[in-house]
Amino acid sequence: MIKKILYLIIGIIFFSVNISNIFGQELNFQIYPTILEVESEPGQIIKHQFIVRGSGGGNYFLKIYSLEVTDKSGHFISSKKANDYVSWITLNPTLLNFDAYEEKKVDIIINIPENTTLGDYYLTIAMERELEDKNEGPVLGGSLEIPLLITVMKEGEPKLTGLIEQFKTQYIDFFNPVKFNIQIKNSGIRKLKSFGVLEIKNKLTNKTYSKELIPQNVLADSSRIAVDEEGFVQGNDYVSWVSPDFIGIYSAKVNLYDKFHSEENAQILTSSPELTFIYLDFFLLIGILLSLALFILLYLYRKLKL
Amino acid sequence: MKYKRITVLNVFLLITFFSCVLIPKLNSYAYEGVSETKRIEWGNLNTFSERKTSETFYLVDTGGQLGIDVYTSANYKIMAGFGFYYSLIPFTFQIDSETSFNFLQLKPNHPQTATSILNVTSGAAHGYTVTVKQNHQLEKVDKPSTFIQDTIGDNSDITHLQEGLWASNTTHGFGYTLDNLVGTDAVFTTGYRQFADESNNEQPVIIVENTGVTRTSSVRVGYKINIGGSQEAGYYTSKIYYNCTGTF
Repeated sequence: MIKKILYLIIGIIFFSVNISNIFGQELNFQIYPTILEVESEPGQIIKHQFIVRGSGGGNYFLKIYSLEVTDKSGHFISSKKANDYVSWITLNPTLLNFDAYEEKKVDIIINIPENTTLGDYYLTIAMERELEDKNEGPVLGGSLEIPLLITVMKEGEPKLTGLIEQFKTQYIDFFNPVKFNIQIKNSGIRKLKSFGVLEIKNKLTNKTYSKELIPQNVLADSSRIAVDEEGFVQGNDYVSWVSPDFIGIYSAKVNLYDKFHSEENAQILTSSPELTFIYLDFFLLIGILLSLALFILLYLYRKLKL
Repeated sequence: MKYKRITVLNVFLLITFFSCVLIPKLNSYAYEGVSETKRIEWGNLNTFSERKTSETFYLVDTGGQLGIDVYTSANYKIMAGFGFYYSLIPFTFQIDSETSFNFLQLKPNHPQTATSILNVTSGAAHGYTVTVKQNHQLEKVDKPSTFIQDTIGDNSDITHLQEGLWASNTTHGFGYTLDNLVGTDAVFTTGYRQFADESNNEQPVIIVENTGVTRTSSVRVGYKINIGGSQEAGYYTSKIYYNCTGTF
């Protein structure tokens, strides 16, 4: 009996040691929501909250950095740089510990100084942690960063300025959907959202159709390829439109708005030049060609008979 | 008789014409999913879930899951996760490493390997990137400036930006390779690279990226170390740092 108990104790000790070795080291990062955009005026103090999740067993640090844009398409990397406006932001708490599956709320206070120049200020909220350094080999660390985009404006200034940099489609299309390449450029100093509508008119029937663009962020001095909902879901880089007609001569243009176009006082910021294109259903075309061929054959047949 | 034959032919022509035009149209209703009237709405995964347009804002509201909303007051507007249809996909980053990451006792010309797994889920409209850097080369704990050098590979062509062959057991150093487990987001999957060395002013390098919405991406980082006979005995350490950012 004593032997059995002894074996049991040895077994428990053996397995407990090995279990601790089997469990890997794991760092989890999650910030929710995935982006914070703030529009306000100089002298304002804004308070908000966001949610973070992490794994247990160590300290997480929350920090603010300036966002380093790497191209003209709005991509950015972690800068780890602290510009003046980083000091506008206060996070509470900045040091966090998590139990399993625990989420925590973090207060963010944005204090925009009175004398701030109007325009955009791009930052990131970083959640950082590294594993304990036992001085026995490489140590892993990691971080997750989300954008914090602040627009400082007053009485509508700075104004939103955008242009349709590219708007094109095929002159004759035989297949649905008809594809449009649309690129929007923000030529101003204030973040723009691509609130836009593609308007299509059938010149033969005078029927009009419209297609909404997804309101993507177009950062100052950047461009974005416009997409519709389907394009967004499917990862397309164009706007698609399904012609309900077998045949049509259409005009199309894009209007870019300052807000969602159905809102009150929505104003057109810019419009594209009008495009004209023809849609002729492929199967209608084949039908016409086959019919023509058969008529010719019939004509020849009758002529030969006579 | 001739008239009858022509009528039959005309009927045949009409059937051909309409079959070409109508039958494909009947089948093409799969396109309805991308028609201009089709709205893509979220399933009711949360307490409530709908698209809203009001006088003052436009948003995708995923109530029941805190955070995504537009908050307005007299002097400010906060758009939290605003307008991104994939907001329901949480933006998460996970580094999962084996306990054996701390290499066992090294012997000259006997390479050792270890792995970490990087998992990302992202609803970011324009994708995400994961970068990596090392604060310095593996440095002897009790003797600063004594390093296990980063590998230069069998053909002396490996840098932190360029991968290369490292198969020989007489090629020494420390480096890493990548392997796609889920998705194809690793920027290279053959050969090895050095880690970008922060102490040498090398910028973090993108090792995993995607330009679109990413439900799940999983990449294995394979570390490799090999020392020569003249390497001083002792513990060597460095910090390898992964950073994940999304593009919105």
